[in-house]
Amino acid sequence: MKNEQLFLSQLCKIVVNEKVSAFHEFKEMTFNEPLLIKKCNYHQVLPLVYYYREELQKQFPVLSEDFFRQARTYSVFNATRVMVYENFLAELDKKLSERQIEYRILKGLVMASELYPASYLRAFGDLDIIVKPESITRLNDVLTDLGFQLSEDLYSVFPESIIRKYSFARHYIRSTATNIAVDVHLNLSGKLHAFQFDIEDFWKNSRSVKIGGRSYPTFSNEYLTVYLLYHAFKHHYFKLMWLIDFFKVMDTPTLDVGEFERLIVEYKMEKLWRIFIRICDEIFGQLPVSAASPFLVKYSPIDSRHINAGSVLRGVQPYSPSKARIILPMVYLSGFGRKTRFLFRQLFPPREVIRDFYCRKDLALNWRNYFKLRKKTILEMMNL
Amino acid sequence: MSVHKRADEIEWKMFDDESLLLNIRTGFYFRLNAVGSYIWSNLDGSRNDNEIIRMIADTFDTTSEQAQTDYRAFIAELSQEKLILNV
Repeated sequence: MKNEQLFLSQLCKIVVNEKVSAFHEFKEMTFNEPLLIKKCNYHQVLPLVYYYREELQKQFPVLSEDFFRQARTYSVFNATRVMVYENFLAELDKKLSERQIEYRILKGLVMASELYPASYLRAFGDLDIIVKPESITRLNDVLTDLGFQLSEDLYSVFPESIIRKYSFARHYIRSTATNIAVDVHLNLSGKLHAFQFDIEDFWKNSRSVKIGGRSYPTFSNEYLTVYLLYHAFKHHYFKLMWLIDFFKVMDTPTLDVGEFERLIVEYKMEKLWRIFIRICDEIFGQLPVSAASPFLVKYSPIDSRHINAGSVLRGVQPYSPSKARIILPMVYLSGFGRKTRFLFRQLFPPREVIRDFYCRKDLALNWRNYFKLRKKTILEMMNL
Repeated sequence: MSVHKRADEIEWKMFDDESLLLNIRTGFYFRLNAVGSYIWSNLDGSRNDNEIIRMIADTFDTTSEQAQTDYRAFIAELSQEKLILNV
């Protein structure tokens, strides 16, 4: 393990243990500090480096003051960011209530407020919210009134009908003195995803979360946890922050482990859980408390060649996003039948999907053109 | 003797010995050092300027003249940025 990776692993152990019982001191170790800062930034753990600096300084006395100063600078930036987002959220919530738009907050801000000793410790890039498809036009009006613009990304080139049909997230940006980004989701999984969540069931299982002293709606712990598990795997756990989030949420005493198990069985996500506990064991040196519950203890850890502690700590995505979309579900889906069905659907999606995304208006969608359009993808697959 | 108070639209948080101030209306944010944070935390409208100047001199081991000069300059900056009100 490279020194930078060892540092990250030690940091993870400190974060979940608060105090590490077995004290290690890596006196002889040398670091490329600019690279370490880059790695910590990539994994979005710089605020944690600053917060746990005393323990880290003991274990890694070679690290310079300047290293921790840089971590501090980022932490101050993040603390300000949290304040900006908390205030914006209060403003948004008021507008959404006035327009009777139901929504739930996902990921970053919820994790920051509930799982960490201070909210600035959990870095986040944007505010993720989910609304019902019928509310999107009204939500768009609200965000436009608040000075937001739909980001000029890939999705903005698709017509409304396609965005709705495939449940694409929309990215809104407000460029003022304080930049704010909002990701608006209509669903947690799309037609082409490996897992198909019953979103109505998620909406029914909600609760409130306290952010900056005010209450906002989010999904219940167990449903949010299942989504986090899927979301992190979908992205190859390429940020340690997601792994820490998931460990911490699984360590929450209020988590109904039986309900969590019911959901992972219902959505056939047992393999994701089993890969996760292997990664946990290797990076954190322990498993979350919930893993020892009678419900979950029967799931033994399994190794994965593609998604493991080494790949997470290296922090490099081995595939392009389009390849990862096909390969990763082949790793974490369980059962030959499910893998085959998923692969087949990726290689040969319904003709309507091809028409929606690839077909020029002047190109008749017959079988000949269909296979012509798929040829490139299939050849790419064969070269994997 | 004047009494100053933090403006309502200012959100603030302590970060170690610094304060982070956010003006909700304009979106601008500010960072205060340890002395600035000390003054800011005492601008709750319950103490007048003289009382705060005395507290600064005691806490930071400085002369009351120096404390007064620094305090006046700081209050002028906060007023200019509309972060405080004269009550």
